[in-house]
Amino acid sequence: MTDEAKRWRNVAVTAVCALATLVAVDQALRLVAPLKPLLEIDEAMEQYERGDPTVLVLGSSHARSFVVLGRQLAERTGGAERLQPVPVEWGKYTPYLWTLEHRIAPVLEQTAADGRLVRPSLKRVIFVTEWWDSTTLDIGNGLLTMALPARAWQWKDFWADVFENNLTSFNQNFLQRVWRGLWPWSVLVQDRGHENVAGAIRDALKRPDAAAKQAVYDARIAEWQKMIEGGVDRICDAEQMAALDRIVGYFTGRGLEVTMLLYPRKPGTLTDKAKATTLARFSLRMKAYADAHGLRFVDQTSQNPLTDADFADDFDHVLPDGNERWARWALDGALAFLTKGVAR
Amino acid sequence: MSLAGLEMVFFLPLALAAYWLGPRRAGWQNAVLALASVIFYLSWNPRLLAVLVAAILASYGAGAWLGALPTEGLPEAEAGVVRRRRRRVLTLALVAQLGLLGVFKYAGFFADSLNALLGAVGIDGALPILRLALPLGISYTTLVQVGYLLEVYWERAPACRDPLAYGVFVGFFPQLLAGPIVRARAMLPQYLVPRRLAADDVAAGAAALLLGFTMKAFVADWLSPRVVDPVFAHPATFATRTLWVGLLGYATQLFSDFAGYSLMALGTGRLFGLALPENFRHPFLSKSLAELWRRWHISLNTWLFDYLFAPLTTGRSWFRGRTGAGFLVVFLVSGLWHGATWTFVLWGLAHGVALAGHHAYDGFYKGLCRKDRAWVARRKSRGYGLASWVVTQLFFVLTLVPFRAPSLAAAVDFGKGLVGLGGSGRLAERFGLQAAAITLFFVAYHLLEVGPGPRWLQRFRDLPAAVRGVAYGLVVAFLMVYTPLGASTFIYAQF
Repeated sequence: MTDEAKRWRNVAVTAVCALATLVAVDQALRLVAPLKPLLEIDEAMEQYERGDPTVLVLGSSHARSFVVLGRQLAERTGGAERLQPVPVEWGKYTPYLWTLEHRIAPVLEQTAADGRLVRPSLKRVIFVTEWWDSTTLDIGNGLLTMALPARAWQWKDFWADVFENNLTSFNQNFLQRVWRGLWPWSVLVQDRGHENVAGAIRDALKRPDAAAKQAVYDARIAEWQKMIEGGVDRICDAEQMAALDRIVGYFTGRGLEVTMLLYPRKPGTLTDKAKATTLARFSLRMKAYADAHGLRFVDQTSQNPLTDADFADDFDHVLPDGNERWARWALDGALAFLTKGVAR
Repeated sequence: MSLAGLEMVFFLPLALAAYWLGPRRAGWQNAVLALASVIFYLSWNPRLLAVLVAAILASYGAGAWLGALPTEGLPEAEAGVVRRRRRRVLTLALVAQLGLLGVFKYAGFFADSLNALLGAVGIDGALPILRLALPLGISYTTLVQVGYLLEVYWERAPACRDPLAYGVFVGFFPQLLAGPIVRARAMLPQYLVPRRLAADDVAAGAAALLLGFTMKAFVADWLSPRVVDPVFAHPATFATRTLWVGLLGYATQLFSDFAGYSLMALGTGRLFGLALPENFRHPFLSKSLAELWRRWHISLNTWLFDYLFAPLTTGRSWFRGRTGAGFLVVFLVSGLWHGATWTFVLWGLAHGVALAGHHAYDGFYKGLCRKDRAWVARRKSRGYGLASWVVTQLFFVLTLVPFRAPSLAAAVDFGKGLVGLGGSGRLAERFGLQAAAITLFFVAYHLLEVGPGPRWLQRFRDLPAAVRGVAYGLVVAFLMVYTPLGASTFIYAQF
């Protein structure tokens, strides 16, 4: 073997061992921070294309709770009612509108050669929202600005933006998504930006005591309470409401029955002041909006069977058990109409 | 696009595949590099690509013109005429290159400064202020081209006859953002011959990329938002200790950001079979400013000393033999090169004065040594070495205050705070494991150059390939967990 051949062998062995180590570490990290696959727009639209649903749910990440509700609905109706959630992470009405126009509408309107709809079953739409969606509030770390490229764009949207604005930190978020999509099984890749692994390692090295954990919990509850109380002057922003008009207009224009549902919030984050100001005003505004546009209106913000323990560590999303309970409760009550047909 | 960005994961393999899987001809390889460099440039600012192309064509043409005017072997009378013609060509080419840099980078600064001066004597807003977007890497590409023109003019390097090779020599994408500033004699011959894929290049390139990324993304990008930016944003509000932490953090960040990116450029170059010049050599080990500038941003400093200092102090002007004055000019230019603001001028002035002072002290000390050999022993003692290191590093770190401060007023506030005349604020975040890991990495990186360090490094290199592979795999896994998201800005790209 020549010297150069030996060097190439060394390089190859080093690379293979490095890759094997990476895979082994990745697998080991699953034990401390298991992967939590989440429904995203791409997958949701693929399911829509395959499933021809009768109910479409459009909303932020909260729409993922309807995966459970959809399953229960299918069980109750023997599969006659098929519900498809499309969650737009960090959503506001403007990104919902973008997703509707660029991702949902082309699938919904697709026709066969004879001009008939390829997927004709859709009868109902549930628009899931909360006060925050209607504001221009960001949470201060620019996450909102990356929502569309990171969740909803396709390659054509990426290239169009690159040709218009060069490569920017905004459109680079699409590449993050492509990168993640290449390694769906990897904790190391999927954890970027979430820091679950770093947190789990930190906790394993130095387990926080109960008092410290409680102090962090209390501080975060206080932050949430302050944020919700502070939203009172920001709700129903004109730009967001204009986007809502177009969303509702599109669905009602297609003869679909639209329900506006205000999503449940973690009880501990809702102060009496918030209930009397931000949340009450938002509920009233949306009720009036629904009445004016002929929509069904369901407010579950604080009227629901969930407790603080049903919410995840992010204080925002409902845990699997909570989703099951909430879905049963909702299908028995305010969303029972989903189990029945639509009078046209 | 940048070498540390995620887009490189898609871009680099494509460029490497086209480069190595195509015909093994210099023309093909240069064409691939040119296309990759154009795409890299376009991703920043497509409109200003024309400026770079025009500058490259102008310097290539001027070089070819100079090459067509040789003086060797000519009778003296004829040689004199040709020399005068060569000088005119060079002057024209330098005016074009430096003029371009002047318009884009300095027009606003000089107009601003002149207006302020005129304003002081009662004349308001006399000059219009030009605010132009800076073409990517113009500070680097200008020096590369000026260096080439001087080499050809001095007949130390032949004029390049291959426009594609020359274009890539100036605009090779890894060196566009933050150098290194390449030299014609070392680099052009590499572009003129077909390159061969060698195992050593792949190994060295990958190792440099990994180390560079660690320095850039893990160290610099962690320090910036947590330690450096808050302290420099409101220096008057922070306590003395916090300001010192911020300043030391900035020294670490600046080095890691710049040296890290330079290493990534070197590593990328090696993957294409090209040896770019080293840009940093453990500068925080330096025991004198002269040594520090031989270890920090080596390609810029050797450029300044070869093409400015040497002609200045060995030519026929007033500067001949006046080394101290030469230092002053070199560092004022260096300051202005780093940025068109008075804070950079102040930084350059401080280093010029200090180097001139150190040069004078060195001369004085050598005189003492000649009289009494005991002074030689004193200079070699541990105490002298330690004191030299402390003074050198302290001076360097302190001069980073005007280098980083957004204005002279902020620099003064920072300076006051460092000596206890500031506020009492502290950084909001408490730093734990990661700060310790960064400090450990930074110290270990420098220790690998001294004492038993090189031996340890060699021992690691001598380990079986499989063991080294496991170590690299663990480092990559560590980086994937702990590197901050969005590590994408470069301090030295702004220069």
